[in-house]
Amino acid sequence: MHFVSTAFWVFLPTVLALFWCLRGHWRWQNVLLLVASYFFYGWWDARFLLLIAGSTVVDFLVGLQLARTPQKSRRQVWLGVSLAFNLGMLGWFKYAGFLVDQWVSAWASVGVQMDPMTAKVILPVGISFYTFQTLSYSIDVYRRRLEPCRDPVAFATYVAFFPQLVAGPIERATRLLPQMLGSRTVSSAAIRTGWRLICWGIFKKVVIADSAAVYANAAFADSGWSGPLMVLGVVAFALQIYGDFSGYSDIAIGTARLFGIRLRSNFRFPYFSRDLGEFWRRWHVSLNTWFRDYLYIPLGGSRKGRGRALFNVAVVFLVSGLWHGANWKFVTWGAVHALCFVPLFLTGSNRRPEQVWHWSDVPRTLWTFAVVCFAWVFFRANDLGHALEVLGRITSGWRDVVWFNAMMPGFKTFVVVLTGFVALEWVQFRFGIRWMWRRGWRGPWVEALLVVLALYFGLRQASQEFIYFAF
Amino acid sequence: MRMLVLRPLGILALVLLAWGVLHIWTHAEAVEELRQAHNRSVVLFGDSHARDVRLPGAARFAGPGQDLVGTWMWMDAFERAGGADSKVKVVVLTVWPNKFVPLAERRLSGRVQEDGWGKLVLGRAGPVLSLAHMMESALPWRLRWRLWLHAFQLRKSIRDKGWSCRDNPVPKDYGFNMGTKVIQEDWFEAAKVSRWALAQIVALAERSDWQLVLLEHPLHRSFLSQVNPKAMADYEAEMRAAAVHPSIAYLDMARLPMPYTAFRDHHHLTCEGSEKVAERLYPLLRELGVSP
Repeated sequence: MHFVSTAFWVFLPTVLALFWCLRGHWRWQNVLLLVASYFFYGWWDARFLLLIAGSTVVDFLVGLQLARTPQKSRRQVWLGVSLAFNLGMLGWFKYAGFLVDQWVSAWASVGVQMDPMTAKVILPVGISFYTFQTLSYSIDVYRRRLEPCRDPVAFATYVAFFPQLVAGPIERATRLLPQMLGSRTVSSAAIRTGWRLICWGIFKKVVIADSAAVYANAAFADSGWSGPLMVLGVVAFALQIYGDFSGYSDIAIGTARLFGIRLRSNFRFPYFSRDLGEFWRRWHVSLNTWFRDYLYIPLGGSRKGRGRALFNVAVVFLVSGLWHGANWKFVTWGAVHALCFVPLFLTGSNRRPEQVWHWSDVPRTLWTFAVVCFAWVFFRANDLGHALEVLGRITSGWRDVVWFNAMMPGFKTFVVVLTGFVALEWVQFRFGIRWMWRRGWRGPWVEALLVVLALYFGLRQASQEFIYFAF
Repeated sequence: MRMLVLRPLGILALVLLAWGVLHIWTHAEAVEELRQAHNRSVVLFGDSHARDVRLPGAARFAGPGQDLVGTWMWMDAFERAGGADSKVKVVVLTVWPNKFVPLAERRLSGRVQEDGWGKLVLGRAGPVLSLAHMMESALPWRLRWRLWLHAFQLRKSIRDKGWSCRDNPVPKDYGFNMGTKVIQEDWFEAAKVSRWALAQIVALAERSDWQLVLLEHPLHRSFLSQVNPKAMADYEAEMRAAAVHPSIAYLDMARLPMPYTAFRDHHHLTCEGSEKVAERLYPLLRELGVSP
């Protein structure tokens, strides 16, 4: 079940009502949330619940063993068990087919034909997210930054908490687990914020992302678009992926707030960034900080000299690309970002404290957006060859532009709504989210307006799956 | 607790209020168009086939994929919009077997069809949706719910701009693969909702002051050679049975011998095909006292 479906809107009020009935009994609330989360996930494919359950059991037991074991070598073994199980599971389901393909291609290039017996592996939804979440628990317990959880239900609920189970934000055990181990209070302000975030997220997903998808899909299909029309298509994809993923995150955070649980913010207006360093502090924050804390720093970070630090940066970007999918296009996407990030790193400007955005930052902001869009071409294309073909189309056809191609039904309405959306995003970015929502925007009429717009756009166009479900 | 219930209820109430206001607006616009159509002697209803009918002076309410429930709702609203001064003498409705096949019936069951096509058809009924339609127990509750919801598409009209023919005929050896259900199953027998809608349209014609012409388009031989013969025979028999009433005529051109150049696909016509249809339709219209 996903957030923009009728099933979810029957499911959520039901769980909320039961949750409220169990107020004052946080352990029973955990049981309810666990059952609800497994139901939510099983709606897709109940078979894969075994993976979540397996990951939960392994990491729960590893955590207990890590607490009991004083010797470092034995602790490393237990951590190795967790890493092997989680990364092995991720590797099998996400990368096995890719690795076999690469193996066969490599032999084919020297004239040896192979016909391997490969099983068709289905990618379980959300596996990249919950494995990272459970890994963070084991690593933090190993590092003695966290006491192991001794409540199996609370731990299982932490792993499977349905709002963020399939597409994040990737929560740290240090932040989310304590919220599962005590009574939660759901204040009026939390409910108001929760509903506002849910409606805002739905608006971003249905109105912005799904509408932009129409143009992005047309551009990346064999549409014959070129020149400025292709640029329009790439910008449309940039809007689509932002609306889609940040919309999902907003709905997840808002839903969690209704249960008295705070999830971390995943997006902080990334397209207003003035350089790539700032962009990565604002885009998919939960994943990037995960890579920083559990990959970049353990590799040595910037403590072992500039050369090693550059290598570590490259590793993080390439792994980040690979995390999105087993395809060279994602690796190239990561490599493009790494290459564009290196000058910032060498000059140290990626570490400068963020200044207040000023109008004089417009050129840098636009340049950063252009670089990000360039990299999105690799991300969105079907494969590397297609990405190069799209880039070729962008550089051609600037003289004889047939704008008619872009004038699909509803284009003007979309442009009007998009302008309003960018303006609202800018106001929140410039003056703060709280500033905007406190200036007379607190009534339910704002949410109602967002829902009406979402209904209007959503019912008129074909639904699109959340992009990050594929990762 | 108050907030937990009041906030979503407040949002829901405002959304419902917005639905009501916007529906009144789109409904008024649609009724006005239907009222204006009463100034014409011929009015055309149907799906994309209606675009292939050369009737320059007619008001046209049609759209691709239009189902019979939506068409009945529009015709019902059209009937209500007319007054004593209505000039309408003939209403032409394009029909063909595909309106009764399993795909059409599945759409009318109200099951989710998330492609733009299924949504478009549901949204077209929005402006003429009335409380009486919502209370119609013969319609599946899921369909009624989705018709209500899709009124949020805020479409104001299905008024079609008119006839414009295209000359892109199929190749001589044209063929297409029909779905196995349409070939193997007795789909007409199973088409409960579509047949119910057809019965409503026939009943509407019987009590109205105008003549209804059920216009069956010519069909390409690749369609006729594959379609389930029993279902097709039942379909044609029902159409002929409807035409027993004096205010209903059935112009059956399904098996009209046509060159392949008359077809754009297995059921849409080129300019040449439109011309052939007009040759048959015009005498009938003249017979009914209308000059096409």
